Amino acid sequence: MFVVTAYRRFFDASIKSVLSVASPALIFLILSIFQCAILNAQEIVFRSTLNKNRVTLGETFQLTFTLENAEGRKFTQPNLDDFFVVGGPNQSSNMQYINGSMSRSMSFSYYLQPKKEGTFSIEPAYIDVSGRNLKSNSVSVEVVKQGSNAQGSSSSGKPVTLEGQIAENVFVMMVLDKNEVHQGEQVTATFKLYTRMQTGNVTFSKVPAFTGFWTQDLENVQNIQFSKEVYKGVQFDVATLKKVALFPQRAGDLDVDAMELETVVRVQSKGRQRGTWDDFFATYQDVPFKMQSNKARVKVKSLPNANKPNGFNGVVGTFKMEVKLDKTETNVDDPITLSIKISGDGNIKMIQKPVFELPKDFDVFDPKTNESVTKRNNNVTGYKTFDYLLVPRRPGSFKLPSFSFSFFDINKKDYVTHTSPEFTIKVTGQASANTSQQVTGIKKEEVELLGEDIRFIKSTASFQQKNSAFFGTALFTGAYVTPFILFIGLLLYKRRDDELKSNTTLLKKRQATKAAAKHLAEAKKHLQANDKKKFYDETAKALWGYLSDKLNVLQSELSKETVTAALVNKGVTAETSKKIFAVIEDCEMALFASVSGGSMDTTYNSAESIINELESQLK
Amino acid sequence: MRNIVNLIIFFLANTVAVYAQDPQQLFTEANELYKQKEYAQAAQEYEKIATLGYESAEVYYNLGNCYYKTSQIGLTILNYERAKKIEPDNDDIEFNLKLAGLRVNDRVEVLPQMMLVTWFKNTLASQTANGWGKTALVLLWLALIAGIVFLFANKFLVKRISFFSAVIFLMVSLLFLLIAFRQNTFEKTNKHGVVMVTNTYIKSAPENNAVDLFILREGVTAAILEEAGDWQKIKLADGKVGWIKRNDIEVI
Repeated sequence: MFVVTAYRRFFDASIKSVLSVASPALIFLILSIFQCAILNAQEIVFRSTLNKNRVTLGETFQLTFTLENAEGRKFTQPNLDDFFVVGGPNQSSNMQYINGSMSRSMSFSYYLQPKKEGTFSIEPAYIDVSGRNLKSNSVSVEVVKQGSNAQGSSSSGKPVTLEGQIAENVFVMMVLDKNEVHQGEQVTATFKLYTRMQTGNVTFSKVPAFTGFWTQDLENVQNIQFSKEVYKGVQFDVATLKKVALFPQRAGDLDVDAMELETVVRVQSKGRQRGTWDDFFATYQDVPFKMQSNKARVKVKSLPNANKPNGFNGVVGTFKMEVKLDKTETNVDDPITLSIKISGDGNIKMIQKPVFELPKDFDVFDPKTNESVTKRNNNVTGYKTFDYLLVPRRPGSFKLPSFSFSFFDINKKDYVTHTSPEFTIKVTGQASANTSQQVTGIKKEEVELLGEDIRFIKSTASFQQKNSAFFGTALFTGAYVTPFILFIGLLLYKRRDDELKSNTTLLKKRQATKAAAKHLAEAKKHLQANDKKKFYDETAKALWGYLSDKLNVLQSELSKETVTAALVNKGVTAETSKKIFAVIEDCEMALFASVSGGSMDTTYNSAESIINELESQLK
Repeated sequence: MRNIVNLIIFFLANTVAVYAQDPQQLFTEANELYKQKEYAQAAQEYEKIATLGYESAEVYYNLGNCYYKTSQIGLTILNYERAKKIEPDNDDIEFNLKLAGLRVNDRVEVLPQMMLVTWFKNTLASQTANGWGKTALVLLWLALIAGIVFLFANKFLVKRISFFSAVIFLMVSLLFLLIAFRQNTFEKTNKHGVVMVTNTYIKSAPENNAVDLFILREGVTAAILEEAGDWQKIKLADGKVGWIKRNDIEVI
């Protein structure tokens, strides 16, 4: 750095200034050499500044008109009738080379004292810069009664309090680049030190918690570099102390608390007489000083709900995703690395590991996560990587399903989703015996089976033709239907047989009269031949035979009792029964005892009539 | 009557005489190879029997053993299942199938069912339709005999006993016939298949770009519900349904 400074002081001529007025001629030479180069290089500014904008009656303050980056002529001062001009105008020039570029300024300063209370506006001053007439701004100063408002210092240099005096000249401001952002969008907070005094190192005694924000330090200035800045009409040395990127985590109005700082301010010792030599032999005092920045409020808008992707978890910015697989063909137990890299600007720390599901044929370990956050032009930028180790445990062809990463693109004001491609992984080889047993869900009793071997092969076999179904074939149907047919056939046969049998009895019944008539006709022959024995025998036969056939009683079972029972059963009257047995008795008496109760004719007639009688009754 | 008997005798004799030689010989040869631990060769021999147009529970069972020994789990399960289809209630087949199932990398949890339902299903499946049919036939003929006794017996007690046994035999026979019918339709409609590739993705629709539902691994058995082009719709024992490529599954 090459600095040439020239002072020309008329007021309060100090030894310092006298010494530094080295050679005006040299200065002007240098100025004229660089004039052309400078003129168009930087913006020309002409402005008015005050060292205080609130003074007490009788207090001296400084009014300065500064022209930057140009040389002016014909300076016209404004009307200063409201003030006593106690000094000035003092003209000074200043030239600076910083990193090859030159800046320079010239200033005219006045030392003024107010004449009365009130607020006074100081009109602009004018200056000619290569033919152009430049106008400065106007500034205002408030003049208060001495001691009434004990701020600032009195003209006699006696501050009301030392603290107050410093506070007016040394303070810290927090500046936000945006006051209204989306949730997750970056807000940059800059902490600036404004000073008009000599300050020592600045230390942060209390950094606010930044509640509701995720923060990332952008800049922590180690070597403070000052630049000039006008604040409320007063020129200050301004330095950036710290820059913080704030990412609001929730919607609503979020407060940013004040930052507290400590520094040491060099002030002139009090209690000493100010004199001509004060500057030279000045005694200074380093006063520790605590500062507090202003507070701020950020209005945070929530992210739109429309189109919000499923996997969105609050990442805001602009990002891209790269997915790589180190190989797609591998052997069992030979691991594969899946690398996912998400890079871009935004709240990188919010990025979470992508969610994907691999078949259980793989062992997937927790990813190795790497994060790098850097700053570029006040933006938090960087990347986050996830390295997954995938260990295939079984052979096969598996798909690594695609997964997606979503974020809210702050430029497009919409959600963006990056989707990874789908990979196919071919795994060759055999699963180790150990792994194949690690199938989930094996029951306890099955575990015991694991050690066992299969049962031995069969040594004999019965063969059948393929698709040789028996059920449903005609053969089966035949075999199933046959018994029914057989049974029905047998049933029919049995029934006919029975019927036939019952028919013979019917026939017998029908033929009973005939047979009886036949026997009786025979008996009549014997009657005519007077063959007694044969006659009675034939008559008895006729009667017994008739009864047997008619009543369906077997010959062997014929007796008086069975016949009587049968007759009663058939509904034959007791009288008729008696008559029958009377005739039969007659016959039997005649046959076996040779005793005949009546003549053969009466026996024949009564036999004939009794059969007729039975015939009519048995119908 | 005589003609039918002749026909049956002729048919049986034919089967035994003409076809028995070749498969029996192959079977013994394959068994020898198996005993010499030449499992792959033994398997080839057994497979030849099938190409001759024969099937046998024992051949499938032995074939399953060969594939088990050569760690071809899909073929193992397939052949055990085929053996089981012919002989549903064989203890050895059941045991080896269970053991082979432990080597399948997928576990399909069978949906829990009521004890009674499971018992009922197991009972029905303990015989093939043929088995049930044959039993029904035997019972029917027994019923016939009892019926004949009933018809021609004179004694009351004999008549009574023969009548009731004829009725019971007939009822049970008809019940078994019913089961046989049910089992027959079940066997015809209930096709099952075994996954034959190391793994395959089951899709939600019979298309290549359909969504992957789940993965099936070699040896898993599934019911085949329907077919569409190169795809078959399957249902697992746990109730999952999806589409599999026809080439990835082999019908039991």
